[in-house]
Amino acid sequence: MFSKKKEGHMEYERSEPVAPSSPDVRRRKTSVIGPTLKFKGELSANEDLIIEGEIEGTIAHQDKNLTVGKEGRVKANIDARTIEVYGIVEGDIHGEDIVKLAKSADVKGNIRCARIVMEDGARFCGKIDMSQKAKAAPKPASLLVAESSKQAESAG
Amino acid sequence: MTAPDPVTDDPPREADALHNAAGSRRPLPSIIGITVVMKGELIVGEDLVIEGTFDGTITGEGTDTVTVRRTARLRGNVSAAVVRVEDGTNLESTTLSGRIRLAT
Repeated sequence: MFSKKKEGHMEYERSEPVAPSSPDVRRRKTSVIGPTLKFKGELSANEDLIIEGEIEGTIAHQDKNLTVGKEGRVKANIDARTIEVYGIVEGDIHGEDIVKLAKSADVKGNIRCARIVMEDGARFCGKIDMSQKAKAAPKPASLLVAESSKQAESAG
Repeated sequence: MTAPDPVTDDPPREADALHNAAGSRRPLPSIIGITVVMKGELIVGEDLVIEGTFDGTITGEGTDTVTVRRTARLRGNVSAAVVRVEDGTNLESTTLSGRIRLAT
Protein backbone atom coordinates (compact mmCIF):
# COMPACT_ATOMS: atom_id res chain seq x y z
CA MET A 1 0.00 0.00 0.00
CA PHE A 2 2.81 2.38 0.87
CA SER A 3 6.25 2.60 -0.57
CA LYS A 4 9.45 4.37 0.31
CA LYS A 5 10.12 7.04 -2.27
CA LYS A 6 13.07 9.04 -1.04
CA GLU A 7 15.97 8.29 1.20
CA GLY A 8 15.95 10.13 4.50
CA HIS A 9 12.25 10.73 4.73
CA MET A 10 9.41 8.36 4.22
CA GLU A 11 6.79 9.45 1.75
CA TYR A 12 3.72 7.57 0.74
CA GLU A 13 2.23 6.70 -2.53
CA ARG A 14 -1.01 4.82 -2.59
CA SER A 15 -1.26 1.87 -4.87
CA GLU A 16 -4.96 2.56 -5.43
CA PRO A 17 -5.92 4.89 -8.28
CA VAL A 18 -6.18 8.50 -7.19
CA ALA A 19 -8.58 10.96 -8.76
CA PRO A 20 -6.79 13.20 -11.29
CA SER A 21 -8.27 16.28 -9.64
CA SER A 22 -6.29 15.66 -6.48
CA PRO A 23 -2.72 14.86 -7.46
CA ASP A 24 -1.28 16.72 -4.48
CA VAL A 25 -2.71 14.30 -1.95
CA ARG A 26 -0.73 11.35 -3.27
CA ARG A 27 2.35 12.34 -1.33
CA ARG A 28 2.44 14.02 1.99
CA LYS A 29 4.46 14.63 5.11
CA THR A 30 1.65 14.93 7.58
CA SER A 31 0.99 12.99 10.74
CA VAL A 32 -2.61 12.16 11.55
CA ILE A 33 -4.02 11.49 14.99
CA GLY A 34 -7.26 9.73 14.09
CA PRO A 35 -10.65 10.17 15.76
CA THR A 36 -10.42 6.99 17.84
CA LEU A 37 -6.94 7.69 19.11
CA LYS A 38 -6.41 8.82 22.71
CA PHE A 39 -2.99 9.88 23.91
CA LYS A 40 -1.80 11.05 27.29
CA GLY A 41 1.75 12.33 27.53
CA GLU A 42 4.30 14.41 25.67
CA LEU A 43 4.18 14.91 21.92
CA SER A 44 6.68 16.74 19.77
CA ALA A 45 7.00 16.82 16.00
CA ASN A 46 8.68 18.57 13.13
CA GLU A 47 6.05 17.99 10.48
CA ASP A 48 2.46 19.01 9.91
CA LEU A 49 0.04 17.41 12.31
CA ILE A 50 -3.72 16.87 12.16
CA ILE A 51 -5.42 15.96 15.42
CA GLU A 52 -8.87 14.37 15.23
CA GLY A 53 -8.52 12.37 18.44
CA GLU A 54 -7.91 13.18 22.08
CA ILE A 55 -4.60 14.42 23.41
CA GLU A 56 -3.75 15.32 26.98
CA GLY A 57 -0.33 16.57 28.01
CA THR A 58 2.03 18.80 26.06
CA ILE A 59 2.42 19.46 22.35
CA ALA A 60 5.67 20.99 21.11
CA HIS A 61 5.57 21.49 17.41
CA GLN A 62 8.51 23.03 15.63
CA ASP A 63 7.93 25.49 12.86
CA LYS A 64 5.08 23.53 11.31
CA ASN A 65 1.31 23.61 10.98
CA LEU A 66 -0.98 22.06 13.50
CA THR A 67 -4.69 21.48 12.94
CA VAL A 68 -7.13 20.44 15.64
CA GLY A 69 -9.98 18.95 13.63
CA LYS A 70 -13.67 19.05 14.39
CA GLU A 71 -13.43 15.78 16.32
CA GLY A 72 -10.22 16.83 18.00
CA ARG A 73 -10.04 17.35 21.77
CA VAL A 74 -6.81 18.70 23.13
CA LYS A 75 -6.03 19.31 26.77
CA ALA A 76 -2.53 20.67 26.45
CA ASN A 77 -0.46 23.73 25.78
CA ILE A 78 0.21 23.97 22.07
CA ASP A 79 3.28 25.47 20.44
CA ALA A 80 3.48 25.60 16.63
CA ARG A 81 4.03 27.92 13.69
CA THR A 82 0.43 28.09 12.50
CA ILE A 83 -2.42 26.61 14.46
CA GLU A 84 -5.94 26.01 13.17
CA VAL A 85 -8.62 24.97 15.61
CA TYR A 86 -11.93 23.43 14.56
CA GLY A 87 -12.43 21.38 17.71
CA ILE A 88 -11.88 21.76 21.43
CA VAL A 89 -8.70 23.03 23.06
CA GLU A 90 -8.14 23.47 26.76
CA GLY A 91 -4.74 25.05 27.26
CA ASP A 92 -2.55 27.89 26.11
CA ILE A 93 -1.89 28.32 22.40
CA HIS A 94 1.32 29.83 21.07
CA GLY A 95 1.47 30.36 17.34
CA GLU A 96 4.76 31.66 15.91
CA ASP A 97 2.80 33.12 13.02
CA ILE A 98 -0.99 32.81 12.92
CA VAL A 99 -3.76 31.24 14.97
CA LYS A 100 -7.13 30.54 13.35
CA LEU A 101 -10.25 29.67 15.31
CA ALA A 102 -13.02 28.28 13.13
CA LYS A 103 -16.72 28.60 13.76
CA SER A 104 -16.77 25.23 15.49
CA ALA A 105 -13.78 25.96 17.73
CA ASP A 106 -14.06 25.98 21.51
CA VAL A 107 -10.91 27.27 23.20
CA LYS A 108 -10.25 27.80 26.89
CA GLY A 109 -6.82 29.28 27.41
CA ASN A 110 -4.58 32.16 26.48
CA ILE A 111 -3.44 32.77 22.92
CA ARG A 112 -0.09 34.28 21.99
CA CYS A 113 0.56 34.93 18.32
CA ALA A 114 1.45 37.55 15.71
CA ARG A 115 -1.82 37.27 13.77
CA ILE A 116 -5.20 35.84 14.59
CA VAL A 117 -8.39 34.95 12.72
CA MET A 118 -11.51 34.22 14.69
CA GLU A 119 -14.62 33.24 12.81
CA ASP A 120 -18.09 34.23 13.85
CA GLY A 121 -19.35 31.58 16.24
CA ALA A 122 -15.99 30.51 17.65
CA ARG A 123 -16.02 30.14 21.42
CA PHE A 124 -13.05 31.54 23.28
CA CYS A 125 -12.31 32.15 26.93
CA GLY A 126 -8.91 33.64 27.75
CA LYS A 127 -6.51 36.42 26.86
CA ILE A 128 -4.90 37.23 23.54
CA ASP A 129 -1.35 38.57 23.37
CA MET A 130 -0.33 39.85 19.94
CA SER A 131 2.80 41.71 20.99
CA GLN A 132 5.14 39.34 19.17
CA LYS A 133 6.15 39.86 15.55
CA ALA A 134 5.49 37.29 12.87
CA LYS A 135 8.44 35.01 12.28
CA ALA A 136 9.83 35.38 8.76
CA ALA A 137 8.93 32.45 6.56
CA PRO A 138 11.91 30.29 5.60
CA LYS A 139 13.32 31.22 2.20
CA PRO A 140 13.20 28.73 -0.64
CA ALA A 141 16.49 26.95 -1.36
CA SER A 142 16.72 28.55 -4.81
CA LEU A 143 16.73 32.04 -3.27
CA LEU A 144 19.38 31.07 -0.76
CA VAL A 145 21.60 29.75 -3.56
CA ALA A 146 21.08 32.97 -5.55
CA GLU A 147 21.95 35.10 -2.52
CA SER A 148 25.08 33.12 -1.71
CA SER A 149 26.30 33.36 -5.30
CA LYS A 150 25.74 37.15 -5.23
CA GLN A 151 27.73 37.40 -2.02
CA ALA A 152 30.51 35.34 -3.55
CA GLU A 153 30.58 37.62 -6.60
CA SER A 154 30.71 40.80 -4.52
CA ALA A 155 33.46 39.31 -2.33
CA GLY A 156 35.47 38.26 -5.36
CA MET B 1 -26.48 25.94 -6.24
CA THR B 2 -25.03 28.22 -3.61
CA ALA B 3 -21.41 29.17 -3.16
CA PRO B 4 -19.61 27.34 -0.36
CA ASP B 5 -19.66 29.20 2.92
CA PRO B 6 -16.06 29.60 4.13
CA VAL B 7 -17.23 29.80 7.72
CA THR B 8 -18.95 26.43 7.67
CA ASP B 9 -16.31 24.63 5.64
CA ASP B 10 -14.95 21.53 7.31
CA PRO B 11 -11.30 21.44 8.27
CA PRO B 12 -8.95 20.24 5.58
CA ARG B 13 -7.86 16.70 6.20
CA GLU B 14 -5.49 15.15 3.76
CA ALA B 15 -6.38 11.73 5.06
CA ASP B 16 -10.02 12.31 4.11
CA ALA B 17 -8.99 13.61 0.72
CA LEU B 18 -6.93 10.49 0.15
CA HIS B 19 -9.76 8.36 1.44
CA ASN B 20 -12.32 9.93 -0.86
CA ALA B 21 -10.01 10.01 -3.84
CA ALA B 22 -9.34 6.32 -3.54
CA GLY B 23 -13.04 5.57 -3.22
CA SER B 24 -12.37 3.36 -0.24
CA ARG B 25 -14.74 3.04 2.71
CA ARG B 26 -12.11 1.80 5.09
CA PRO B 27 -10.84 4.65 7.28
CA LEU B 28 -7.22 5.54 6.77
CA PRO B 29 -4.86 4.82 9.64
CA SER B 30 -3.53 7.22 12.18
CA ILE B 31 0.05 8.02 11.26
CA ILE B 32 2.79 8.84 13.72
CA GLY B 33 5.27 10.40 11.32
CA ILE B 34 9.02 10.03 11.22
CA THR B 35 9.75 13.28 13.09
CA VAL B 36 7.14 12.68 15.79
CA VAL B 37 8.29 11.83 19.30
CA MET B 38 5.66 10.61 21.76
CA LYS B 39 6.04 9.61 25.36
CA GLY B 40 3.04 8.29 27.27
CA GLU B 41 -0.03 6.10 26.90
CA LEU B 42 -1.86 5.66 23.63
CA ILE B 43 -5.16 3.91 22.96
CA VAL B 44 -6.32 3.49 19.39
CA GLY B 45 -9.42 2.00 17.79
CA GLU B 46 -8.29 2.19 14.18
CA ASP B 47 -5.25 1.15 12.20
CA LEU B 48 -2.09 2.87 13.34
CA VAL B 49 1.21 3.33 11.52
CA ILE B 50 4.27 4.27 13.54
CA GLU B 51 7.38 5.54 11.84
CA GLY B 52 8.56 7.94 14.54
CA THR B 53 9.66 7.51 18.13
CA PHE B 54 7.34 6.17 20.80
CA ASP B 55 8.13 5.50 24.45
CA GLY B 56 5.28 4.03 26.47
CA THR B 57 2.21 1.86 26.04
CA ILE B 58 0.15 1.37 22.89
CA THR B 59 -3.15 -0.45 23.22
CA GLY B 60 -5.19 -1.31 20.16
CA GLU B 61 -8.89 -1.75 20.73
CA GLY B 62 -10.77 -3.95 18.30
CA THR B 63 -9.47 -5.81 15.29
CA ASP B 64 -7.13 -3.18 14.00
CA THR B 65 -3.52 -3.36 12.97
CA VAL B 66 -0.57 -1.52 14.43
CA THR B 67 2.17 -1.25 11.83
CA VAL B 68 5.68 -0.50 13.00
CA ARG B 69 7.88 0.75 10.20
CA ARG B 70 11.61 0.26 10.20
CA THR B 71 12.19 3.98 10.84
CA ALA B 72 10.34 3.68 14.15
CA ARG B 73 12.03 3.59 17.52
CA LEU B 74 9.85 1.89 20.10
CA ARG B 75 10.27 1.38 23.79
CA GLY B 76 7.52 -0.10 25.94
CA ASN B 77 4.52 -2.29 25.24
CA VAL B 78 2.46 -2.67 22.08
CA SER B 79 -0.75 -4.67 22.33
CA ALA B 80 -3.12 -5.00 19.39
CA ALA B 81 -5.08 -7.58 17.42
CA VAL B 82 -2.35 -7.54 14.78
CA VAL B 83 1.10 -6.04 15.16
CA ARG B 84 2.96 -5.80 11.87
CA VAL B 85 6.67 -5.13 12.20
CA GLU B 86 8.93 -4.30 9.30
CA ASP B 87 12.22 -6.07 9.02
CA GLY B 88 15.05 -4.05 10.56
CA THR B 89 12.92 -2.15 13.06
CA ASN B 90 14.65 -1.07 16.26
CA LEU B 91 12.60 -2.63 19.08
CA GLU B 92 14.64 -1.64 22.08
CA SER B 93 13.07 -3.03 25.27
CA THR B 94 9.73 -3.51 23.54
CA THR B 95 7.08 -6.09 24.33
CA LEU B 96 4.69 -6.97 21.52
CA SER B 97 1.45 -8.86 22.09
CA GLY B 98 -1.23 -9.97 19.65
CA ARG B 99 -0.72 -11.60 16.27
CA ILE B 100 2.76 -10.57 15.30
CA ARG B 101 3.58 -10.39 11.63
CA LEU B 102 7.01 -9.68 10.25
CA ALA B 103 7.10 -7.79 6.98
CA THR B 104 10.09 -7.43 4.69
